[in-house]
Amino acid sequence: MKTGLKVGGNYLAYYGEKMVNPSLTKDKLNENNAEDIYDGLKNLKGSALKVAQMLSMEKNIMPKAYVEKFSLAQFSVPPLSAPLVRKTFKRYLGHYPEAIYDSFTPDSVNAASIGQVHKATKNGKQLAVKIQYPGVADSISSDLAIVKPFAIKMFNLQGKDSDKYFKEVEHKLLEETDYKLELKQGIAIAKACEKIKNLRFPVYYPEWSSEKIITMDWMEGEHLSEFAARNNDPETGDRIGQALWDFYMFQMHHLKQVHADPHPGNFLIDKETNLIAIDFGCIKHVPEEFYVPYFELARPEVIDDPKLFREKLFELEILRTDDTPKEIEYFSGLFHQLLSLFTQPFHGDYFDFSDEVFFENIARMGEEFSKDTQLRKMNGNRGSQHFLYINRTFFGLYNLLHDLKARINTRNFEQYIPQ
Amino acid sequence: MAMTKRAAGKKETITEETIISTYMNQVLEKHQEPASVFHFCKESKMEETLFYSFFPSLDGLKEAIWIKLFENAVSGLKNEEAFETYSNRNKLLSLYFTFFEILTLNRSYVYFVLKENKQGLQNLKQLRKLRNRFKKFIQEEIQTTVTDKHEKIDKIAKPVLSEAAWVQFLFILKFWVEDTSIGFEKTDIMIEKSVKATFDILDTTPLESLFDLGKFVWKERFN
Repeated sequence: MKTGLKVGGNYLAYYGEKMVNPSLTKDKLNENNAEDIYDGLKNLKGSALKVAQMLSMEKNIMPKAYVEKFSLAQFSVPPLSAPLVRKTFKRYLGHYPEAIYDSFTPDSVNAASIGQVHKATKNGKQLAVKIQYPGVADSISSDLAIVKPFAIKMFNLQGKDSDKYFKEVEHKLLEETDYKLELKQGIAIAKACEKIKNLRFPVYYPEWSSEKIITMDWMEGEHLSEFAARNNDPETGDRIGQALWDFYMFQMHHLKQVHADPHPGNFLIDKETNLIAIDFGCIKHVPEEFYVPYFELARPEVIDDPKLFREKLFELEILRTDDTPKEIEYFSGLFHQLLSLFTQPFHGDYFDFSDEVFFENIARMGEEFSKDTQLRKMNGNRGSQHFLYINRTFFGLYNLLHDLKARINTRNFEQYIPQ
Repeated sequence: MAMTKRAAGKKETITEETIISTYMNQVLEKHQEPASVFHFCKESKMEETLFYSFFPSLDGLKEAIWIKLFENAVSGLKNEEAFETYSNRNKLLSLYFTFFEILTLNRSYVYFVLKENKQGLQNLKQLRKLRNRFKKFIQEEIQTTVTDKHEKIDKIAKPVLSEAAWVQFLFILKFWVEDTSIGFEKTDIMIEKSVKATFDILDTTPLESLFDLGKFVWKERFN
């Protein structure tokens, strides 16, 4: 594989340069690596771009250079031409856009990772129309095959069953290309969450939607990250953060399915500082056999009971029956440290996400793990496949709440759960 | 559209179009082309003189089918209000998308004559008239901007551009014939990408530098 070789080459170059110039930092190496991986990926529209986005979201786990490069990946997709947009309409809705809407912008106003957004009006209503790039679903499997050997190396996945992770990603990516499903999920979640305060959803229009086209209300608002950057009213940050937290906890604990793409681009803040959730392409269902041990592990009394703790780790496949006693020892210790820290927001009724110390600790731990040579040699093929999207969801959520500097009543969501 | 699946009834007035649909149906049903005008007319119970009042030969008919398909695409484009306001790139894209939509409607026939009759490059002969029509359309619709300095180049550039577009079309046509993706989605991607690449090259590379290079190569290698 091309990228793999190139990355190896960068390591060689790094060690070579390091001999001459000992002050050279790893950042430089990461930057070169990120650049090559990025160059390899940027030609792939669609699913590889999604994988890149997923990697770039984990700000604390990925070295900074990767994050910067990978965020670029989100903006480098050439838009669909106006004639192809027309053709897509004709094919999937049977009419050209001008026959459906009162007005329609032929050029896209926004790029989504596997599609683009156009603005339209109908009966005085402003609409957002999302159109998927052709061939995305088709290329997912081949794109993943390109990323796979790289991921296996990077995370040291041993054993045949590491396929379950790739299957999980492939399955979710394929779901994301099904706009009919997205429409259904968007409508269902908006309905289920309508009671949550300060939270809004766009209205979807099934009659103007199909497998590759979604029509919904145009939501006027500011991107969450932009808003958070300029906001200096702590109460507003708290209120939006609370809505976000309640939204996620309600989905997690009550609906048992969750919007698994808490990317700053998927949330808007309107003039009345309500939170608007858009893009329901990626919904992760949380199966009971995962849900129960996962949240058991969020309780300090379980974390601090070595026997019970180890049991849960086995249930979640973090510890494997073929592990050596040394591995069991090592990973129990590692996950004890990790979970004690990471589940802190769940330990009490209140959590302050503006707490720099908490996030510095997470970053430091990520740094330590990445430097741990012992860890790198161990089999990384552990943990249920459900971790992928659930962890990504929590990482994303924590980061958004941190950006908002929100102080959260962690149990506030319980009022929305019907008894 | 002219080329419907329905065979021409006896009482209908015979037109160019009815002969064309009869011919296309006959080719598809028999899975082979009629050996002569005589065979074709006998099979479709048509007076030979009537045939000759429209077409000089079967080859002439075959060429006319391609022109008809293309004219259908062109009239589709002209119905599109915004077409005249399109940029060159979007005009060319619209042409390809529309033309391939029409070809897709008649795919069984096109597939047969280009692929299944196993005549290979011989088939290209029936595209001769289409080539002229296609190039004329490109020269009319794709506006090259003329400045004083470029005037000479433009005289050469127009034929070159339309010839290049034709080669590109043949390339996409071959891709489409072999395309197995649902709804020939991959052909759409191919059109999108190849037109984008063409215009990116045209936009960023002034033609002069191409001529300069051409002159150099000519001088160094052919003189």
